[in-house]
Amino acid sequence: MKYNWNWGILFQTSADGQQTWMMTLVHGLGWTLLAAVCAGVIALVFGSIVGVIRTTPLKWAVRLGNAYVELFRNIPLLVQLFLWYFVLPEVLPKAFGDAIKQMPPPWGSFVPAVIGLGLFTSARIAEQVRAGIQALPRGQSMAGTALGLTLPQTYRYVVLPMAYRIILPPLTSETMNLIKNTSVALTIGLIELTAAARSMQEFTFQVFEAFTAATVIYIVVNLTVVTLMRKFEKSIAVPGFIGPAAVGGGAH
Amino acid sequence: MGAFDFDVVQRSFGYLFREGMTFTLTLTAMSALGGIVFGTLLAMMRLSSFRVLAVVATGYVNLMRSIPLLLVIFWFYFLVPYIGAWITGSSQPIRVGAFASSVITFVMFEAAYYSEIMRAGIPSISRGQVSAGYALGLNYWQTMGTVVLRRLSAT
Repeated sequence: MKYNWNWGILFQTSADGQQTWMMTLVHGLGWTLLAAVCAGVIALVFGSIVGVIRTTPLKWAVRLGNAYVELFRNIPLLVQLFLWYFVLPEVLPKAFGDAIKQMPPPWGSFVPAVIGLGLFTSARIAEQVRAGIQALPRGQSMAGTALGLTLPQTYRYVVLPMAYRIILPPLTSETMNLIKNTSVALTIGLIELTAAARSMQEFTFQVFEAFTAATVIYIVVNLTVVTLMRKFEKSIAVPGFIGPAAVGGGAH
Repeated sequence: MGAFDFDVVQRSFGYLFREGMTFTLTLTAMSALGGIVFGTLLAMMRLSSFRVLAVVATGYVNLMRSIPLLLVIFWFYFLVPYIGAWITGSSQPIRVGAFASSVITFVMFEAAYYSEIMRAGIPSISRGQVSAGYALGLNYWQTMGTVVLRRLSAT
């Protein structure tokens, strides 16, 4: 067994003849992060709306919310991305579909990737928002009603501020999942970090250098996310209610 | 929309279900089984009083949890031939099929996730039960097997 290690490859000029392989990976990281942020915004907005809907007293709205969650949770992410990328332009009216297909290179795969990742993650966030709201004692929303608040006001001022604090730890791991899931977008042609590492491996045959570099970058990114979210959790904790320590205890 | 040919689904029914779905289910079953076994071992390592074991297992789990599955698949697809060559002492990387490679990958990846579930469960079994096991004269493996893991699989 012989393998020729050559870490210098990272600083050699890449296949496009302009930048080093290291920069190729950094560019990939840029796309990974941009996709994760855009998808994260979609996921948070849709997830919150659906999650809240599922806790309202409206029966039909709850059913609709449940259907949404089950639909996006039960189809593999890869299949969802394929649907957004390959099938959607065919289903839409012809002019619209053609316009989608003619989007310039990174955006043509970036947009379907962001939509797919965003909606996939939104179903998971909806589940957590619902769990967070239901973890609150019923007395809190009753107190809101007793104070004469309307249902939207109760959610806005009583329920949601506490619910989001409760679900912050699971949201952290969901953020990490989202960053990792962006790698699936390489199958529809987005050159994010994993795809960049793979193209480096294909051009240089330095398999383990390329993947080690990508692995280290992912670890650094995820550690950063975890650290920042911990800080954020501490800074918004309500004294005496839900601190990081109390969440760790798990008994509520 | 009119250009769709849904008949293709019927024509490739056998391929879709007999081959595609069977493959998915086989892979799921095998990796779940392997993942539970290795995940349990990892969880026991993390909770063990040997610090080295605990540190190794924690490092492994954190590593697996912070990189994408796709990257793990690439890693093992390229790494397993070299490890195989190293074990058998041959001078060339050995050939490993995509199936064997994917089963190994899924087992190693799932093990990290199962170990987190197990690790969350083991401390919830009260210390008294473990002490009771020792008091009955069981050794570590007997206590783990007949008291802790038995209880865990019920929850």
